[in-house]
Amino acid sequence: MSSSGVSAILTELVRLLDQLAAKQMPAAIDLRSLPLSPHDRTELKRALGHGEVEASVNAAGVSTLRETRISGVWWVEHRDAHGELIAELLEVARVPEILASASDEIAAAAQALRERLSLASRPC
Amino acid sequence: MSQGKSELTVGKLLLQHGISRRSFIKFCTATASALALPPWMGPAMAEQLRNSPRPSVIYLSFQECTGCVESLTRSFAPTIENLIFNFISLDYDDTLMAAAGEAAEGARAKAMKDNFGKYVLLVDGSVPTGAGGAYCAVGGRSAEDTLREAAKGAAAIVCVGTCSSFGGIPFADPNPTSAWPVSAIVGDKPIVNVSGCPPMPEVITGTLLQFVTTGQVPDLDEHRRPKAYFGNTIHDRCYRRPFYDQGKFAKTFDDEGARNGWCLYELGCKGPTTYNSCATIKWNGGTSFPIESGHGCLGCSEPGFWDKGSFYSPLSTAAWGKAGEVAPRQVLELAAGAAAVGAALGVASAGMSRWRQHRSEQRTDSETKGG
Repeated sequence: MSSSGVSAILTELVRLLDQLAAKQMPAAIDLRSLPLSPHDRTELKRALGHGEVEASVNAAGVSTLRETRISGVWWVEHRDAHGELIAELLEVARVPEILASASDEIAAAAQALRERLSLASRPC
Repeated sequence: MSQGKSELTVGKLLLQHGISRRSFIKFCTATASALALPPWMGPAMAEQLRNSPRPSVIYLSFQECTGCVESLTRSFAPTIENLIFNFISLDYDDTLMAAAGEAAEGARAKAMKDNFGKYVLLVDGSVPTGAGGAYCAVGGRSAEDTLREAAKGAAAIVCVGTCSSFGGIPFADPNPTSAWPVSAIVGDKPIVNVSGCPPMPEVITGTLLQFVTTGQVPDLDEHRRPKAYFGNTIHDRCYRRPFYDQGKFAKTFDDEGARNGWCLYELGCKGPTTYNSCATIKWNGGTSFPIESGHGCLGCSEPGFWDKGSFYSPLSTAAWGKAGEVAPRQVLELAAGAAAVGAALGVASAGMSRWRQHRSEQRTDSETKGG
């Protein structure tokens, strides 16, 4: 991909950011589906820069999520348990889906904590 | 699979296995990426699957070599164990299941009864109708009988491999067992053909996963193959394509052109007329595909590939065109056999139409390539 390809990605990001702002609709660009050369990758990283937030998730391998200087655009890398890169995306979202806790897991956690407190308060 | 197991959602099952939602989202994102699906499919797939019961899947093997199951078990994304244990309930597969004999056939009958109208039927191998079906019988019943019975309650049928999709090698001239593709026997169910000899493992599991996720048959091409995987020719996506465009061709398998990785068109590569994902998904976990190993594409995912002349003759030569001479006889046999199985004119007409369309494509391609 030439630098015009990087320009195309940036143009697409503008569209997706407009969509996020107007309709609260998150989206993503799969970087592994694009023929990015090392030079293109460097150029794209330089164009997007580093933002304020960086997070990692330990779930079946480490995932790193870095917000770029473009607010709402996250550079996401998913690695498997062996450290192999299995997915690389630019996510356009307020917060990437994988970071949020799930409602059913929150409910299950509340129940588990309630039971734990109940056990702890039981007289010996 | 019992009724109770059917009602168990994938999400609940994952929770029982200690697999977190985040791990699952990550898995689905990686799967969508590996299968070249749109990136939004990952989280959508995760959400849909988490709240869905595992569908019952019945896998029937008929006149085949087991190469398709061998391929399926080598799926990297998703892995076969992930697919079987988490996303589907594989209730019958006489090659993979531990049960045998009456216990196995009983499991199939129970799954078909409990999930009537909902299960996905996978079929591997062609259906031989000669000698009263004696060429392929399981549990004392012919392949044709078993297929007809199993098809009745299926939500959809996925033909795994070229044999069940198009007849494959058993259907090739002189077709001694009067073999048929599934579509010649079953006419009233959605049929998806995942062709290839064998088909790509990720295309089998990906097609199944797509169906499980959306509950619908994916967009298909004129041969009922999923467009997501059969939308481009091998040639379109081949890394050697620039050499074709430059007119640089290997003339033998050990000349300078071959060593330099030039185009294998003149050595008989059928990539220009073959639709499949080998050049993009690749085999063995993305390691390579036949052309990358120095051999031309055989065109194994196309109807009638075995009867199209030498694998080593260029598409532009007469040998490829001569393959058309075989087709009419096959089509006539199809018509004659169809009468025997009660689907005469429609099948013959469809077969003739498909053959004409295919011949037309071949001619166009030959004329283009032959200059």
